[in-house]
Amino acid sequence: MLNKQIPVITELQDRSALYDGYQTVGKVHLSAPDIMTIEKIKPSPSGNDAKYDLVDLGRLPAEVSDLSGLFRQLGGMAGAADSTILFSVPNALSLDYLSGQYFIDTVGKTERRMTYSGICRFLAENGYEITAVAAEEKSTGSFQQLRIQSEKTASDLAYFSSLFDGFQEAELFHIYCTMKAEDKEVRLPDAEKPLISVIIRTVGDRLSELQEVFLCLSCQEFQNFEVLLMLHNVSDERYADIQKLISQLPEEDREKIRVIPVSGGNRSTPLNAGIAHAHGSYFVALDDDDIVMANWLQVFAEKIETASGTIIHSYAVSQEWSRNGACLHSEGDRDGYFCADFDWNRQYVINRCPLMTLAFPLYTVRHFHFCFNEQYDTTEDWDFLMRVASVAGVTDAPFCTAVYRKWKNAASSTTLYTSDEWRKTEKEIRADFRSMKRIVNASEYMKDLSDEEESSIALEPELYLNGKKIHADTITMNGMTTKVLFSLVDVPETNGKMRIDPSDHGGYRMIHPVIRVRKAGNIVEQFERSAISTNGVWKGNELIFYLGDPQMHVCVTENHADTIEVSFIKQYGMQPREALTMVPRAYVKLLKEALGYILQKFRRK
Amino acid sequence: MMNTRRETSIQVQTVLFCNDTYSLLRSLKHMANAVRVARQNGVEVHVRVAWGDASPEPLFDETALNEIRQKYREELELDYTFFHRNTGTSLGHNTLAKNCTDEYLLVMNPDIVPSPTFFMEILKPFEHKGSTPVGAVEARQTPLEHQKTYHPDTGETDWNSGACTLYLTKAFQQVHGYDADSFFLYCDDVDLSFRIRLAGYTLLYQPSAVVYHDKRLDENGIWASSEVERNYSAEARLLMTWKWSFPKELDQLLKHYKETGAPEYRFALQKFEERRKNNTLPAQLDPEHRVGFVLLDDNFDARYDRPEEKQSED
Repeated sequence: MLNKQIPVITELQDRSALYDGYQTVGKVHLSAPDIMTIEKIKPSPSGNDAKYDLVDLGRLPAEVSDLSGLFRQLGGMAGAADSTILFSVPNALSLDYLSGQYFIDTVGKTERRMTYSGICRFLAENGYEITAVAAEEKSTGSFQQLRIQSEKTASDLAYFSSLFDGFQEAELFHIYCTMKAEDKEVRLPDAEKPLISVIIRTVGDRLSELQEVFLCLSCQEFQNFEVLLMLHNVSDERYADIQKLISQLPEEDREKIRVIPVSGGNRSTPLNAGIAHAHGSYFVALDDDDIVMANWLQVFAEKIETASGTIIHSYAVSQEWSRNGACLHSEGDRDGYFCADFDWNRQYVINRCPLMTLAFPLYTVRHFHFCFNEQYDTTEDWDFLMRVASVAGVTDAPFCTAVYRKWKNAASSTTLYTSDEWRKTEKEIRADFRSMKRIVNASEYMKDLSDEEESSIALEPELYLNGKKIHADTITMNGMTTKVLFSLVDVPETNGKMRIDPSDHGGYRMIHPVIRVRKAGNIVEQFERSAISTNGVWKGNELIFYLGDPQMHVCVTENHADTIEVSFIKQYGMQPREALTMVPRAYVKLLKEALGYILQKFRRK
Repeated sequence: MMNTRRETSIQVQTVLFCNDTYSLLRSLKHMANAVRVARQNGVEVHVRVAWGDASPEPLFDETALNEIRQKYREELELDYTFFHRNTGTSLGHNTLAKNCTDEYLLVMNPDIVPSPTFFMEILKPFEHKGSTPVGAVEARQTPLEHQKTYHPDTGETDWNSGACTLYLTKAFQQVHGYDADSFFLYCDDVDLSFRIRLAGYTLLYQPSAVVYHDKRLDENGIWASSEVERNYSAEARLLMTWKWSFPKELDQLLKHYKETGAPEYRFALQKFEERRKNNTLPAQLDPEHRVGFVLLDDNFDARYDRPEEKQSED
């Protein structure tokens, strides 16, 4: 077991002595193909008061594919023992490695080496908090020690650059870490990690309902989940009642439950604590009065397979219920109000996604430090959903899997707060939404094409002369140049207004378009750019069609023309600057901000 | 919590028909757990599970059954009968109940999962001695409660659902169980309830006895019925109005079925007319409507429990 004492650097005199008498105290499980076991974990050297926990990683860091998984498990072992963990990093050689890369490949080999800055940042990203660093110089083996303020993060490269300057000759760095509070829970190996963490918040005053929640969870078809029962400000007496409820469950259901007491705060607090303790890839939140169907988690799990990383949204019915002592009773018909897809525009106005219909990706939630806003006593779920959705997006799973109970004669968040309080919070949240930005999925703005429409994406130019439709006679390719000929032989009078529709779809550039009118083999008219009116946008000699239904209009003066010839080079894709002009102004602002942020980061480096 | 240490014997009977064994074993696991919890709380129950298999092929072989018996040997006994034919639920239950000597008989669907405190709660109402003996107690189903009218204080109700109801074996056998000749899929439980009440028993609903009933809703939040269910539901409506002496309602239904001509109505009409022609309609009961009740709504759906206000008058 790892001990709690922080190693004293100056006692690391004879490193070779530390390699005697290893014993196995823990195993690190890695996903295939990195199934390896750390076997050499050494307790303190005998005769030395200082306590060390040494994990010889050997070449593991250079070779495993799931390095993050490895470090998180190590950190979990240390965190469980509330121990400081020391990483000694060899081969941190020069400032060249401070490029922000975590690892570099050596020439000719697929080998990763840890750089000083890289390992620091990597540790920080995996839940470690660096408390001290020291360097061992190559020649003397002596140490210089630096204390780093814990609030300084390893990702602050500029700061670490300045530190590094003093250690250019160092052979070995020692980095002392503790796990951040929210990462202190033992990290489970991936094989044992549940896919879904179910976070239940309760204040312990609805035992009948809670028993029903447990029953619903017992009956889930999908069983790879854990339950975090967040006891919020629960008295000792109620705590005992809840423990009794849990003891009445079948053993394998009991084993899924972790009871986590939470003090203080409001309704959001236990949810945030649950997020911090969750082991799953996704979390779903249940109130202690929710009821769910046996396919509730199965629907989430199936969708996670194909849309991992997004919020998964299922459906629910609502129903009025009443309580008579410990007896619960449904009062009305089930209402399918919550049986609807996630709709951005509607969601900005009103929330139609109850919390139990949503599975949130924990990686995203943690990475962006999303949490339920503890300023809000109501509708905290709506605010949280929209903020996470703005980054992660939402995938609908159109299955009704839950019952949202509306209590007629029992306390709930609806009755605990006045309608004025609800309206006030809703107003504040809507005000926040006004400044919210979100990543737009292109599919939201693309209609699904029928087979017929799909086929029309191929170039099928049409020409309208004085309103009469004429199909292209021939389409030829000469190198990159497309030439389209329209025969006017059957048209008695060829002068007048002419419209050319090169395609149905837009989103391409027409380079150097030329429209000519021919009569008996001779060109009688070629239209200058200024003579062509169009719904595209000219950029030099390029005509850009951003949107569908591109058109070019010219006025033909020749009355006896026999052919109209249109030639151009067609290219798909937009230059970034061109694409920007397509984006609504709001998004231009967002993009500019993002670019500015990135440039600023580069300057800092 | 009940204080008695007297052992209460219960036959838990389920009719199987091509069910997935996962659901059955899940049910059994929670049944055993409910027995454990009851005993820990001083309710000594002896449970014998009786599975009657109406599937074309047996769902379990003897080896599998022995493994199950071994696993739950502390909590329950397991009897398994292969019927060699599709008996339907009514006849299946009657067959299983025929020689039952246990005090209580729990009729249960295969997709029912009892809560840990199920036995403690479902047995409670039998302890209270009222003016009329309790003939049956129905559990509350979750997540979709089987909505019904009952007295909020006494739990008294007009009929018990066959999904999960604990019968006094004596009462069940006294009225000869389900009317398997008349009802194949629907209303067999309503009809049985009315007959038990006619025999002088009270029926109760116990909301604190919770069981999980694995039902699903469609994407609109509606419980979608199959064609077979619609057919037998339509037929059961005609048979109930006939058997429980509601001629006016029967005429209304027949007229509506003929005029509408929906497939399930055509099915029901044909079956009903065949019975009438062959004199195989059930004997009519309760002409004074002492217990029987049929109310047609605007869509000609029937309800068999009296609305709340009427019940309170009784």
